[in-house]
Amino acid sequence: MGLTVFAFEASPPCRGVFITLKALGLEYELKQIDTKAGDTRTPEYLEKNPQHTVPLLEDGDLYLAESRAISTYLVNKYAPDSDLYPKDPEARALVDSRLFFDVGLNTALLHILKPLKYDGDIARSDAAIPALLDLINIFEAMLAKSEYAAGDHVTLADLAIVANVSTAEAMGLDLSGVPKVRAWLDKIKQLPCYEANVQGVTQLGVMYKEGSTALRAKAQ
Amino acid sequence: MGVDIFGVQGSPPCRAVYLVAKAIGLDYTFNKVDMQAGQHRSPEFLKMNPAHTVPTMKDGDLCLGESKAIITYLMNKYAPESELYPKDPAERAKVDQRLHFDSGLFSSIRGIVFPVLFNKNLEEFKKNKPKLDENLDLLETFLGRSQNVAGEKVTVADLAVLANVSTVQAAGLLEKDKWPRISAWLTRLQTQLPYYSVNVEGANMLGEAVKKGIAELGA
Repeated sequence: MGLTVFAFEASPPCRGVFITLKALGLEYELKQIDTKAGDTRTPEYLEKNPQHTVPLLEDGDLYLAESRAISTYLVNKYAPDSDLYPKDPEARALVDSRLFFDVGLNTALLHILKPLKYDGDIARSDAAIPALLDLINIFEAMLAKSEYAAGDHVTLADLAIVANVSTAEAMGLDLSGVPKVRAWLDKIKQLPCYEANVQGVTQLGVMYKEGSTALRAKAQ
Repeated sequence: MGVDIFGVQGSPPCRAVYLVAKAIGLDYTFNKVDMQAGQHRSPEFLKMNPAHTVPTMKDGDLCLGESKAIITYLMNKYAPESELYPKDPAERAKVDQRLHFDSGLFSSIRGIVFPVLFNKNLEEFKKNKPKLDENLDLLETFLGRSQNVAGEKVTVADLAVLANVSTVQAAGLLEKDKWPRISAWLTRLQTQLPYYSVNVEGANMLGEAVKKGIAELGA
């Protein structure tokens, strides 16, 4: 019994869940998933998660996909009084709003990473970078209104968004125009739970830098 | 005073918010946003929502973007005991999970709408159509496991998905023999929900524009 997470470390939404689990002090078993090897397309996996995605949480009879639904579930179930996901409707709404904004960040990231990983298409990958930077600029504007992503203290919104923004940094994307984002990133990196992000983001950063450099060289 | 929703009729995420507000009997003021004129990028709008998207909600001092966050806020604030958004953590999580699925569904609908209505790009339409079909296949699977989108009862997940799927149907893209469960679920909600009418104009407007655009592209 206990919690099981089906995931792979490089994946930003998976890291969002790892960070949240660590912040809540929750133990879990990690089941490594290799999407390229087809692990999410087996009949057993599809039975648990027809969306064939990671992360997937198993908690007794409950199978839950969607990283941000997993994170809010973990607080609601195991730490309902936690500041990470305040109970007050207005405060909670702001966290939820930033969590859904984070979906856009992740999608934009995937538009850069997927063409590289699956098609070796550097042109399409590079063409997708401005859209991500645009969203990071919007996050900069959001941070003009509050110290953290969704108010004056750390919430699930910070823990989710940092998985994506730290990835942009590790990929070597240009964050020179977003000083508030950089300062926020430095603050979140100081949190003990951030440790759960480090291995995966480093891995993904290296993969992207090596892959993209090689493909750009070939294209010349 | 009261709740202000800034949006447009065609947009499915806007209509999801209207459906939820009507479902809980909440009075709100609809503020039409002239997106063609760039109203969503005006300084006033950006102050409310730096992401310059619709729907945007204002309730007193609280300004909120993201339709799903608006929906769950309205439930938590104005109808906290409603079964449309259950309190039990596991049941709520199942609804949240489907709300996230619906975001992906909407993304794939945008992938059709943009090439058809704005870019007039047949290639792009053909490239993106399989993603929409895949999401419909998933929804068909979900509806094979339970009566409604997130379980046996109607929840806000159904209302969000309804705004999207009704648009797909109005665009002529919801083939009944491919997706019989979705078609049956859609018919049931369209006839049984007393407040469904708030979705009709926008779904038809956008759906018919897409249908026409697809025909013009020769797809």
